[in-house]
Amino acid sequence: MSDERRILADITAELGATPTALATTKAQRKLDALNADAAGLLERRVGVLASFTFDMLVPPLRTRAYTDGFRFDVYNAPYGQYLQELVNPASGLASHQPEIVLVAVRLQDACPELYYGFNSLTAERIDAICGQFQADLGGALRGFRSRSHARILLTNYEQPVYASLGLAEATAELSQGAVIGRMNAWLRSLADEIGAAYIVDIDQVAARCGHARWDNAKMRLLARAPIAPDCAWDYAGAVTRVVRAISGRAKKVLALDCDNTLWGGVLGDVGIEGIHLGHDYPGNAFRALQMRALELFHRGVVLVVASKNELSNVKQVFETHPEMVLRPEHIAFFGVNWEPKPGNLRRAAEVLNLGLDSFVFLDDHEVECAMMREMAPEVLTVQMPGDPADYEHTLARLDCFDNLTISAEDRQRGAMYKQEAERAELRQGATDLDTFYHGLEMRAIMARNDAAGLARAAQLTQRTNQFNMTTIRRTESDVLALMNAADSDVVTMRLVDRFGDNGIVGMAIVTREGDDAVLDTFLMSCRVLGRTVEQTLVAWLGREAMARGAKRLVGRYIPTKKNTPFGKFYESVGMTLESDSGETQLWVCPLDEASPTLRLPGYIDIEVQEGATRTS
Amino acid sequence: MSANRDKVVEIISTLLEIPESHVTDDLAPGAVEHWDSINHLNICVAAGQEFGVDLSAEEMAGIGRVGDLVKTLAAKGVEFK
Repeated sequence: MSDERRILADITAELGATPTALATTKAQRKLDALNADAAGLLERRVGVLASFTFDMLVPPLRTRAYTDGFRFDVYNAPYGQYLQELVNPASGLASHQPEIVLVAVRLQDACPELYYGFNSLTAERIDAICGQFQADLGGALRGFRSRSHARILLTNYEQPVYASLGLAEATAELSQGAVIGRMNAWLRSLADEIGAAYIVDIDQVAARCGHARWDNAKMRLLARAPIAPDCAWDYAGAVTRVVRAISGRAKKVLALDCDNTLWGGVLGDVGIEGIHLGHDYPGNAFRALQMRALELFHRGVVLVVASKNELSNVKQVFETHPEMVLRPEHIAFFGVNWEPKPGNLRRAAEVLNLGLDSFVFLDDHEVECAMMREMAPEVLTVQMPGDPADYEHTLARLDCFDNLTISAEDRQRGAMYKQEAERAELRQGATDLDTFYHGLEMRAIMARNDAAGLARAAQLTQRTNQFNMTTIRRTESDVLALMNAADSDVVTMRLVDRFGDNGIVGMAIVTREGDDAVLDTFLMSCRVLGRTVEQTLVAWLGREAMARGAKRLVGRYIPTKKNTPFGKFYESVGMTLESDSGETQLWVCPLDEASPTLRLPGYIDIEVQEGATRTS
Repeated sequence: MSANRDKVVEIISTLLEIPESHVTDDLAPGAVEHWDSINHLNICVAAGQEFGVDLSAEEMAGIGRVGDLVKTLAAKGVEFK
């Protein structure tokens, strides 16, 4: 593992949860010197359009981006010029060619009356002010979208620090809060409409920090820099968590130590009756942490245990301790033994088929944390604070497990990975692959243009990095448009086997171009690979295209750092390389019965479900 | 050199991107490329955070050289010996 990764991990740990401006800037200088590739950093050109002085927020934004795995090259437009910058094709923003545009427009700046003169406004005047702003910003963004594919990040609008109506704010029909809420709803619909646009939830993070602390009147009046310096790190985090989520960099696994992390005390010393876990302090602090972890589990985060203990003792606690919140069914992998923890996490990563860089590790012990940073710096290692009362906030504020939306699959994913670990055991038991495949009793349910799978389909395009042949990220509205278009089909594949329902694990977007059926998107969740699922999907898609009169199947492959292990996939199913531009390869096969690509492996029963989205 | 004086030097040199040896009491905005109005505020904010004091707008405006920053901080109870 490279030194660069280790430096990044160490600086991230040093910064902690609330770094000062000096610490932030010092860290940024050091991190600027790292080699991006060696440190595993994704480089992004970012344009910032703010309605206020953003200069002070640039160092925290860039530093926080580093700690989340990104190097931001920031263009910060002169404050207040967001409309001109958006509409002018020759603006500084345009020449920066941003991949991400942060539109940091505060309603306090754009529509100050809504915050500072609310009581003198009539309902009609409020509508007029809001309408004018919506027309201005909406129009500028639509114009910008017609010229740029950049991801657009829109900061939403926060509640006032002190409500103009006073006590009546809580009961007034037309309250300030209601008007701001309406503007936030409008912003969401605008994001949907323009596509590849995402909300930065400033409203939530300002509330978390406390509005009175967030709004720094001195800096606002002195320099038009209203965000309190003490909240700059939180502001930056609200932005970078979105970038993480849309770039497939969200963390997926939470690995938890046991003694003095999941419960108080050392199990081996005090026994199951002696550990602190219950409804009074300090036992309730550990329960509170477990409840946070369970909430993440129900959002799709995979839970792993990493503990130096006797496995039988730890299992006994999970199975029988009456106050445990987490139970064996929530834990996908128990890495419980006397081996170093980095090795246990590597083993968990293999069994779960997930990258170590998607792991977060929590431990109270300084040495265990230092060893993890040293041996596995791609893991985000977080040392628990001295006081167990602070545990739940330490986990909750990590903000790194995000999905843009939560689908039904997410709520069950933790359990699915548990099944995956059991399948891995079966694989070790079966003497040959044929027996193993048959033993899985797999069924694939193919759905075409089915709006019910929309959230999951969009999410797969955003989250899948490895078996993803083109890595084109799409929003729900993008996918819906493709479902509705006459010349494209969105196919999702659900996989069921004897261990349970894996949910929607594969997805393809097939576009018809003349006689060619083109695989614009072809991706598969890595946890189902190696079971002939990917061969089954491509063969089935080929057969469907043939039935609809296509003459050739064309697979596009765009190499990235993450998907190169699967660069030979199309070749492995019998397709031949037709062209290679360096950026894109085209793999083709003729659509006839003799084509090896159309051979179904035969281990998977296929069911087809037509979506109601389109009638054709 | 007190630890607090070292901290002031560290703040100025980090934020203005100059070597620590260039930071003297007489160093003033005109002599350093990066010492603009934004960085002036950054310096005051960073000093406030590091020493746990709050500088008023008037105090920030009154700081014309490094020595003034030290004096302002000292008046708020930060020790420079």
